[in-house]
Amino acid sequence: MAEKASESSNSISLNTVDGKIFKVSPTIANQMQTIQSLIKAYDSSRVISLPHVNAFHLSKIIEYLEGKSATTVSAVKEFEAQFMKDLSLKQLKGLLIAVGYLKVNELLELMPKTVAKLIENKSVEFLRKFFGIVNDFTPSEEAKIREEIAWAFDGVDED
Amino acid sequence: MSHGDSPHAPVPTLPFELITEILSRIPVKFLMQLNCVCKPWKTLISDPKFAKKHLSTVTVTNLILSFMNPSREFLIRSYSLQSLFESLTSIPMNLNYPLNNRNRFDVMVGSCDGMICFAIDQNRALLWNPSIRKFKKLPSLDNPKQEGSYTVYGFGYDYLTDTYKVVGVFCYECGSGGAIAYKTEVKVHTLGTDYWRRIQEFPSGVPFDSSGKFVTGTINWLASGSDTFNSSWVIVSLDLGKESYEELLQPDYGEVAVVTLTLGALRDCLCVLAHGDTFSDVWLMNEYGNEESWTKLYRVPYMENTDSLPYTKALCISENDEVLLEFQSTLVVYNSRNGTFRVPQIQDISGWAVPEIYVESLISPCS
Repeated sequence: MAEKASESSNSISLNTVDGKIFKVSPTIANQMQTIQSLIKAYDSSRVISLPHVNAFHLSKIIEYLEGKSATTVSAVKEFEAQFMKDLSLKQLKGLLIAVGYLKVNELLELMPKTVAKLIENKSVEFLRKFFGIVNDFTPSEEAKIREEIAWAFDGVDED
Repeated sequence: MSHGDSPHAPVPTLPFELITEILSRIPVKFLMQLNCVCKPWKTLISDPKFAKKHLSTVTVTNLILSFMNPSREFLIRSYSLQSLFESLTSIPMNLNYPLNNRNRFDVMVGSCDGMICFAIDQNRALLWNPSIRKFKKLPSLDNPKQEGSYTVYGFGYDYLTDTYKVVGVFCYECGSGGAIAYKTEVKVHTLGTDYWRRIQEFPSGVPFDSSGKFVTGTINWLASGSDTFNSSWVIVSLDLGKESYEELLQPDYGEVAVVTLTLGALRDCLCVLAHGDTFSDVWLMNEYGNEESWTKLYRVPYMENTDSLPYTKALCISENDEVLLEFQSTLVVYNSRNGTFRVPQIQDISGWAVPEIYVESLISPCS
């Protein structure tokens, strides 16, 4: 009980880009490397603003870190699967950017795997749009590459 | 942090590092398609450093079968091991052998990090990564053709110099009359160079006509004992880094009257199949080089309706402790827990097929 009280008095305030303030325990905050170093650099009583993270993303990250620590080892996998399942591909992308900025190591391991699974076998055009990539090949360059790797676009070879 | 309060920050895009993290978890064939997304992606996908990262994050393991069809074409098919173990059916994928495939049957030496080494003949070997369709024909070993001579190869990765090496052990007869003995001449080719280097000869005996097995930085051969009249076998190991040999102590076979031995690699460990009269014992050297670590994994009885022809290869162990074995020229899955056999439904090949295991990778033999 005493520990809980001291933890809440030590809690760290995070201000998201859309102006919402989150109070988190040091245990949770320390799992975000960027925040950890900000706590070291500033007076801990100060509200830390996160210019690249919105409330939705931060709430998801906190949900993940709390959910993960609250469950047993065997249940972690199930929790993670459900956590990822609830997110759309677009939400995953936004969340991954936030996770990358905040350096949440465990999610940096898990999320690319999830995104990789979801984009597998999507078209080149879909991926360009999804990742916001500008195609810097000239049409003839692209045609040449597509010809070279035409085999990779084949389905299973039939006899 | 003055801009931190602005609610109208531009739509952020994923930093390239995170894109790299995602792409390093995508299977090879799909990654090959992504070569045409944009220039930075193409550069990344062909970067050897990325290939290594990718290899350590995604492992898709396949079974490969090489065989000759009735029109005498040398064909190679790949099957997903996972689906093979799970459902015993797997849709094959034909891989295009990079050399003219008429009237040939090139021996698979072994595979390492997605590259497969083939012995073309006594002087020539080929490295091929079927997942990215890149191959390299190695320079000639330039060994003289002699009656009774042969070359035994080995292929693996040298952790010390971070290179791939092919070893060619040329075995030839010398002496005359009743006292014919075999000698060896050993050369090493480092991938990325264009020559073979001569190294020390085989320390004892000569390797049997079977390729060396790669296990943790070493190539291992089963060789005849140095005494021609003594039918003993020795395991000769070549450290690819130091390029020096060692003879490994074999398991204690106990009461078993071992008829023959087969050397292999299983679960990244050196493996010995010790064939008795009615069964084969599968031995694993759990810790390479530590002779105390030899462990008998299973005793696999010979399948019914067969004479005492042994298993020729142990290919892979599944998560459920099932082992994929080559039995004469068919493949069988032996379940050690209940002692049953299953025959995978991939026998759409008539005739003799040589199996091997390989992983899909981006590692290119052309550096």
